[in-house]
Order: sequence, then C-alpha cells, then structure tokens
Amino acid sequence: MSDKQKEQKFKELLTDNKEMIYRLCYAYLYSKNEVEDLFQEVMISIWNSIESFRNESKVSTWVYRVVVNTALMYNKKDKRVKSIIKNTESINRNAADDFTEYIEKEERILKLRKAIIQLEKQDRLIISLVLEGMKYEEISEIMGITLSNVGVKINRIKSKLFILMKEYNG
Amino acid sequence: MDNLKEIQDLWQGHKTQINQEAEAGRISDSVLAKIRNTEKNIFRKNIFKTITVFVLFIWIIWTLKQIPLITMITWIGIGLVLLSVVTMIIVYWKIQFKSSNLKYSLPQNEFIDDTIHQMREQKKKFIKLFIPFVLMMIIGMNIFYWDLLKETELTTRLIFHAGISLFLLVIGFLGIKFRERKFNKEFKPLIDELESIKS
Repeated sequence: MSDKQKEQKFKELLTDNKEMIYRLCYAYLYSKNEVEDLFQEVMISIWNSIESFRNESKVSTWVYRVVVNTALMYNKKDKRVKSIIKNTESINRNAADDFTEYIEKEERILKLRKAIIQLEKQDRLIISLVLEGMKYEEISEIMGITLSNVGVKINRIKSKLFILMKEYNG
Repeated sequence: MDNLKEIQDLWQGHKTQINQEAEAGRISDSVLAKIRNTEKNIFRKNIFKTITVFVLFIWIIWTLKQIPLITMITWIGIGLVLLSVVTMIIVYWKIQFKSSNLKYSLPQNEFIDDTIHQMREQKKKFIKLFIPFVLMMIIGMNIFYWDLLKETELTTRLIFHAGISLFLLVIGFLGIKFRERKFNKEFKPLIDELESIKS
C-alpha cells in the first residue's frame, strides 16, 4: 500500500468513524485531556494497523477492535479517575437559564459517564459498544468472546450501571 | 433513566467536542501531521543511534591503531569484545518492546494473548542474548590480556584472568537481575491486569 493510498484509507476511516471513536474514548476516560490523548493514540494505532485491514470483517468492526485494544493498553493516569469524580461539581443550573434543556441533557450525560467510569476497564468498553447500538454478534467479534458470554457480561454490566446511575440520581 | 434504549439515544445523540472539530474538517489533517511528525522523530532517533554506534566503533579502532606493536592475538581479543558489544546494541534495539508493533486489529482476547506473549518473549530474548554476550566478552578480554600480560609471571596472570572473568560474570549477573527488576516494574503489572481481564 502506497503512502497516498494509506493516507486516503485513513481519512476515509476517520471520516466515517470519528464520532464513535471519540465517544468510546469519552466513555472510557473522564478528563478531557485524557480523552483527547487516548483519541490521538487510537489514531496512531489505526495508522499503524491500516495495512493489516483485509476486508475480512466490517470496517466498523475492525475500527472498534483497534479502539478497544488501544484503550486497554492506555494506562496513563487512570488512578486519577476516582478523585476526579469526587471533585466534579454538578453543572450550575443558575448560569444557564436559557439553555435548560441543553443543560439537563449535559447533566444526564455527565451522570451516565460518572457511572460508566466506575465500572471495570473491560466493562467500560463493552457497555460503550452497547451504547453505540452494536449487536451481540459484533461485540463478540470485537472482544473475541463467545456470544453467550457476551450476553452474560452485558446483563451483568447493565445491572451494575443502572444501580450506579440510581445512586447518582439520588 | 433506567431504560437502555433511552440511554442509547442520549449517548448517540450527544454532541461531543469532536463533532465541532470534524465539521470544521480539521481532524484528519492535524492527526496526519502529528503522525508524520512522530514518524520523522523515530526515524531521526534511529539514524542518530546508528551513527553513534558507528562513530564509537571507528573511534575505538582508531585509538587502538595508535598503540604500537599491537599483535594479531590482541586484535582478535578486541575484535571479539567490539563485535559482541555492537551485536548486543543492535539486537537489543530490535527486540525492544514497542507498542507500535502490537496487533491492535485482533479480537480483544487474541490481542491480550499476543501482547502478553510479546512482553514475555522480549524478556526471554534478552536473557538468550545477554548470556552469549557476557561469554564473548569474557573470552575476548581474556585473549586480550593473555597477549598483553605474556611477559608477567604466571601467578599474576592467573589472578588477573580469574579477576577479570569474575568481574564480567558479576556484571552479567547484575545485568540480568536489573533487567528482571525492570520487567517486574514495567511489564508485570500490565501482564497481570491483562490476564485478569481475560479470566
């Protein structure tokens, strides 16, 4: 694959999948800087792996694999997550009277992220695939585990997530 | 918010920073520029390392050439030492664990197995390389001093040969221990974590 072809393929993959990639990073890590750092690392992994793409799986499945594996190897500053959660203040409602709906949505996202970040690393990745609306078959293909195992894991993670979200909703 | 569909809609409809950046068409160009920059830096570093070893090698040879009456046996000893050092440096660069060599596009379970395998292999390869390196150094240094000390009395020579061999063995032993410590600090926690994810 020539450099130009590689660049072209990379741009295509990025255009089609950037939002999903970013949301996955966004679910996996809490601080904005870390999310952006991981996003950059994912880009580098995609660039380095692009020649291994053989059209044997769906493009999105291939991209998800690269994202979840890069996230798994991303080890930096992860211990800070808990202290960040403790110190995060909820969004100031008074400052946004004109954007009540927007703020409410942002607050719900914030609560969802706080709950996700409390999960184990691999569980965070699995639930973010579920939130992206992926089928169990695809998740099984990405994670390399059996379909029945995917089902069991997702049910367990969902229950955990709902409990955590109820805690945040008070 | 206890319905999965509701959460999925909220999640997928969420406008992140990336949407705005993407709309402005800035992402792919800035990412590509950063990747190109990283690749250039790696290339420069490799060139620098290669030139450093080459210059060091030339400098040692040149310095030795200044010594008068250097015999063929001394050259063989020095040659062995230099050859083992250069081989060690080059092979060490080659076997170093690089995250860019990981197979990120594998299914996660296979990726974990492959990553753990690569990390463990790196440790094994180092030991496999380091033992012959130390032995070559011992042989080379002994040949060198055998020729250099041929006028000295036998007991002194024996003490010297035993001393230099023991010294290199201790250095070799410490080198392996240091490497093991480094492995346990850098890779062991990651291997344990990856194994726990798999189980």
